[in-house]
Amino acid sequence: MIESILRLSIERRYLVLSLTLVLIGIGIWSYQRLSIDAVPDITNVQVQINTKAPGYSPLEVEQRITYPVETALSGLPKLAYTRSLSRYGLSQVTVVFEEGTDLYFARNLINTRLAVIKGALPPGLEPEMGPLATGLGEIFMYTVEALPGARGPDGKLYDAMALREIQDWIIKPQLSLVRGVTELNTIGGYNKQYHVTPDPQKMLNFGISMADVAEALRRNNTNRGAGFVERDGRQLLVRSPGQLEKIEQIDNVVVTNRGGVPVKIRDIAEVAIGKELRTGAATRDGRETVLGTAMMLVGENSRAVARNVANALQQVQGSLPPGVRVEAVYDRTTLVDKAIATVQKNLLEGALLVIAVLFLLLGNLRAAIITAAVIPLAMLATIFGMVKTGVSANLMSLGALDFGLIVDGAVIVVENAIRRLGEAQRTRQAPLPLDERLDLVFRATNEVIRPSLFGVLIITVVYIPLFTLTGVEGKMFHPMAITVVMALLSALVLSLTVVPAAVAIFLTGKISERENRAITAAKSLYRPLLLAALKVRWLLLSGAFALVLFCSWLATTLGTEFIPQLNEGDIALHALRIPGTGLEQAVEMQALLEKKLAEFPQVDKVFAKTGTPEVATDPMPPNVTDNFLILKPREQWPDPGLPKAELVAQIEQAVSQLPGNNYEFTQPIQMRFNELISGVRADLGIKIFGDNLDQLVASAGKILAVLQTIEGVADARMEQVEGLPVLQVVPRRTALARYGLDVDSLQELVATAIGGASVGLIYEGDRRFELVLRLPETLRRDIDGLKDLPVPLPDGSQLGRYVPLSEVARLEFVPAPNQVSRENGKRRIVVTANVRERDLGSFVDEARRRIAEEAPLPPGYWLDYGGTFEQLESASKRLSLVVPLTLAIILGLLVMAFGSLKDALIIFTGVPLALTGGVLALWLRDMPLSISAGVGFIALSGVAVLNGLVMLSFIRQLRQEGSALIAAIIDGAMTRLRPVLMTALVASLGFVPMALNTGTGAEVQRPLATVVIGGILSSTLLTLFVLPILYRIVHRGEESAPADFTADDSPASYQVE
Amino acid sequence: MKKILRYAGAAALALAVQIAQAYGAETQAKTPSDHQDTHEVRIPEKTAREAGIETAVAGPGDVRRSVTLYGKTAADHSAIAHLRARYPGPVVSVQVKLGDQVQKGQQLAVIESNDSLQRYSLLAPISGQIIDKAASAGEYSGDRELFTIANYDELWVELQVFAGHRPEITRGQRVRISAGNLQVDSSIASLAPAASGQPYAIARVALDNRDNQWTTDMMVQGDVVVGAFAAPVVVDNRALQPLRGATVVFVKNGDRYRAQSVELGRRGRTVTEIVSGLNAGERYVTANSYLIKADIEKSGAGHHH
Repeated sequence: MIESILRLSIERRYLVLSLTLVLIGIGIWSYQRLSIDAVPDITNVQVQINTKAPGYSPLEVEQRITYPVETALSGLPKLAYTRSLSRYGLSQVTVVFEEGTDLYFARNLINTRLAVIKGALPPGLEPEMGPLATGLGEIFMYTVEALPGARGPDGKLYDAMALREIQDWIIKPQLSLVRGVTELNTIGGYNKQYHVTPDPQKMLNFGISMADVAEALRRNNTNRGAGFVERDGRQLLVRSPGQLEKIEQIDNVVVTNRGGVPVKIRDIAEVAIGKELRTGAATRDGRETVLGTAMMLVGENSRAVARNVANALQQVQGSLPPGVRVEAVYDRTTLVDKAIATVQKNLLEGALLVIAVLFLLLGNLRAAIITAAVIPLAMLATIFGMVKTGVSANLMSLGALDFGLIVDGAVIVVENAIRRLGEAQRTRQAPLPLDERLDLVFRATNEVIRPSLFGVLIITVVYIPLFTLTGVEGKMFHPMAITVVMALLSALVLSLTVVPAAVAIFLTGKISERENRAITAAKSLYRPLLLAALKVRWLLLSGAFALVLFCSWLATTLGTEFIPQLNEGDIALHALRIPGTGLEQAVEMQALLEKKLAEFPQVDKVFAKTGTPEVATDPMPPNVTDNFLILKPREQWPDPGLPKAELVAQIEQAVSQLPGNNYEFTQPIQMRFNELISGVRADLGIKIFGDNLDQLVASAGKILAVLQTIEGVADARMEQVEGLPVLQVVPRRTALARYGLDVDSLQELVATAIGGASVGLIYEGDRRFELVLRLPETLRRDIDGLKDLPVPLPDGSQLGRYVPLSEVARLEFVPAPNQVSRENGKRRIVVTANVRERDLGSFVDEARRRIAEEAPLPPGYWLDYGGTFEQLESASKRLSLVVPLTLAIILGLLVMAFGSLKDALIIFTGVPLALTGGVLALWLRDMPLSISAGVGFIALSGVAVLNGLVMLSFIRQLRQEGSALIAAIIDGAMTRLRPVLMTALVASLGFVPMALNTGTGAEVQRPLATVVIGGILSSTLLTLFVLPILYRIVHRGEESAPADFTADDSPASYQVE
Repeated sequence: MKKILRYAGAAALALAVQIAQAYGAETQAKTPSDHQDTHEVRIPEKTAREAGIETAVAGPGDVRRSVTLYGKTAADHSAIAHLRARYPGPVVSVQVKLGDQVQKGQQLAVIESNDSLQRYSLLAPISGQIIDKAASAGEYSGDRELFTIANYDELWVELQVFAGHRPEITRGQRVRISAGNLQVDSSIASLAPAASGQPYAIARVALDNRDNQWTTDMMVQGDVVVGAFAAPVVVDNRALQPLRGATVVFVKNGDRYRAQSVELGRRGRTVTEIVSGLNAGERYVTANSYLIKADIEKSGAGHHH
């Protein structure tokens, strides 16, 4: 099989080479379709259903909206779980589907279900699905601002409301058209509204109720079409315009008649442009602003979309009134470009280093170029594969690519071919004729292709455990594993086809196979050393064993982290205030905070979102603010070398002095992922399900108390659901009945008076603004005066015209839940805890036992234990199965290759030896163990095995050819010195730029590269010495060579199909 | 082989142990473990100034409370005169027009009695304005009301006092009557139950209407000052904040602010009486007291998605 491929490739060498042109074409075509981003998308398959319910308090939202929506969704196919949040004025149900579900399919299903329940929701409320975007979606943000002193067409200075109008009606329509933008989200400013604010006393005077005013406004604000009439052959359309357009027209709407005199709106109310009751605000450098966010459609290329938005924004600027300016404040392109530049730099420098090493060690430029050509070809093939599998190019997916590893197979092939050709030429003293050359190339390739194929296969196999990761880790590392495996496989195919073909074509004429000085020197050094090593073999072996022991101890002393956090370059900062903090208060506190932040010379821009934006992609309450700190380029810092962590610490120190704020530091993309993935992210999360919120809170409190007494607990806390101050207007039913009123009319009055009622729209061309009826601001804010709000009595009541509100309702301040969280259709509250310095498993067991004993739940309530301990359990269970299995597979492959368990095990010793170097390198560079480092170890095991394979197979070959044991070992080791050194050098040098780079995103790749470099150095050294020793020891007793692994007969047992 | 497993195990652990840290920073939010019972915060002078925190010294003051009532204006019964012809007969002449101001004793009309055929004058019994006139020369007077004279120089405002406010309202309380832009100060002259079937009492307030700005049956608002007490210690209403189930004020001591729970007395529109908990002379926070409450409670401020 392999042979026939080889033979075919060499015979049809020109065809094979022209096929590479096709590959290049496909690769370039794919490259243009490759989506590029900074980090892999770790968002799960989820759909958010937001329902805005102006004026609804959390409990009403839950009861009237969240529950019906949730219920409607139960039983959807492929549904993983639902969770929901009911806040003031907003219900958000997040539906999470199983991994791999098509998002459009999911949204379709939801759409159907939502259509059914529309009737069950309160009238006027419309559930909407969130934008078709993922956690990477917020790619571009801009602010709309007025230059100082700029005035609008009405001669007034631009205020937040005027800017919002410009955003809504000029900017947004233009930017929504940009390809790849799925949603433009706005926060900040005020929606312009027309406010009719009646004076209660004047209404009483005319005996007019709020309802009358609302009715009058509703009935006097429409245009109607009335068909057409034909007259003298012409068709006349008939219409009756009645829409209100100006404030004067609203003023003149007649509400009723009193004694033959019309009572107009102006007689009882003020009409003015007013501010909505907003749920979110945006600030920049301490001032109010309007902030627009462009959200990218799922699966688009963020760099391209962000660039398009930026260009479109340039054009939008031209259409804005003079004095108004849009400015991009966050552009994902910057980060992506930086990250990609880092990757490119690493890859390019790595490739150059590899080529240089190849040239140096092979001493033949053509051979070096052939080998190096595998790099771009494999890369193009990988890109094609990435496009096909939908993997985006990012720091993680490209982060583990080492061109050194990729060319390993080719190196071995080319090295052997060039050696054999050189030898042949030397014996003939002339260039070889074609057929002989081809035959020699075939034999040379065939000689080493198996070990090299096995080596690459084994490297591929060791990536398998990465595929078993699930959840967030899976999403982070699957792309990496997929890319590496694809690159390795394509390199494997290339070294089986293109490389021999190219060797056959290009390595003509005189083969200048100089053993260059480095190699000669190495060889002259290696031989005595190896001989010496063989003498003191036991000493050396125990030394190596000691080293392994030492390093496994060292490994336990290294710190651990999940993955090194990508430095996005910018800082995101949650400012948290106590629940119940009002938006305006928060904006004031924000001004102070932003002033403080802007004082830092490293900070370029500060902007912030407080509360919930128009599309509730992240429903924050008004007491939470997301601050974005865009930093200047490092060159402009007073101290360009200042680590970011240090800067963050300084900022934290500075802002912690401001009263009333708590902070959490994160980064923009990271923050967005957090918001979307949510769920319990602590070690242990105990969810309590049940009906009664008070009972839930009480139970959670008890459980929290129990948790806090368990040894090893840290950061124990419970979800904060309470603390929203509420002014309740509780109807007194008998009093109401006495006055001939009912609860509904009372509530209607209170809702209209305080919250306002929308009574229609005012059109200004395309722009439409709500016409709102509510009490004047002075009265609304006067809570004491609210008691005296006159409630009009039904017409003709014997009891007078009105009754004060306090007669028919009780006003009381009560704390109420500020949010109701539900999961899978049931109310829940979460208690979380982390565990320090204690084994998580035993902690969880103790927690379970103690909670069951000390904090029993009433009937109808139940607990669910979750948190990362679950993931830990399942991950370690899975890995403890998969890792040994993988090692077994490798061993199996080796046994297949050698037909000898002994030899397979000898090669296997390379793995721990390689790991020692990795551990030492980490320790030297003061890096913690992380998954990135773990991936490095994985790659390392592969390289180590490959090295051993190359060396051992040759020794065995020599043995079979009849050499004595020692001679075979020494000859084999000497002959393989060059390929072993080469593969090791290219693999480690290929990673050097990655290990040293400090650019954006380098922190993710650095540990991996460090491990590989360190490991390869140690594994090479040890392969060169320990392996021959082991072979010598193991095979001491046998003088007759065992049958099999030779190049010329190929038993079916190790054929690679 | 075992070692390898161990390494793999170590890597697996590294992988799983710290999942929370990477993308779950939110759970690591600071949770100060000890809640001191005396709630106190330190805010540097400069920061406090920037944050707009203002203070005042607690001391004696007047607690003013007011209640808003609604009602309407009415004329006093004695200020309206309905005139009929004493001896019916034809109206000979009429001297006044509708809307004329008349003085007491002024002749309004002359009527010839049917019985005696004597002419007699119909005189104005009170000074006031002719607000209704049903007499023209030559008409037969009959038994009709010929003139209505009303004197609106003094009007009454009848404020409706519903049960909720009844205990607070007494005679003599100062009240500001307003209707639109009209405003006048007066006091409650009487307080009496309304006619049967009406669920409120009526507080009557005299209204000087010599400049004729007011009319009867106007809906007016009356803001009654129901209490003006001199209290030994009062604080600005902005200073009061609910904190962990109690009402507190924040006492400033250098750059330290201590939450002091207080017992409230009467609450006025701008200031509130402190019964206990705060002594006169202590400096407390007025404007932006919320910031200090927020700072004390912020340890609990979390962000759950």
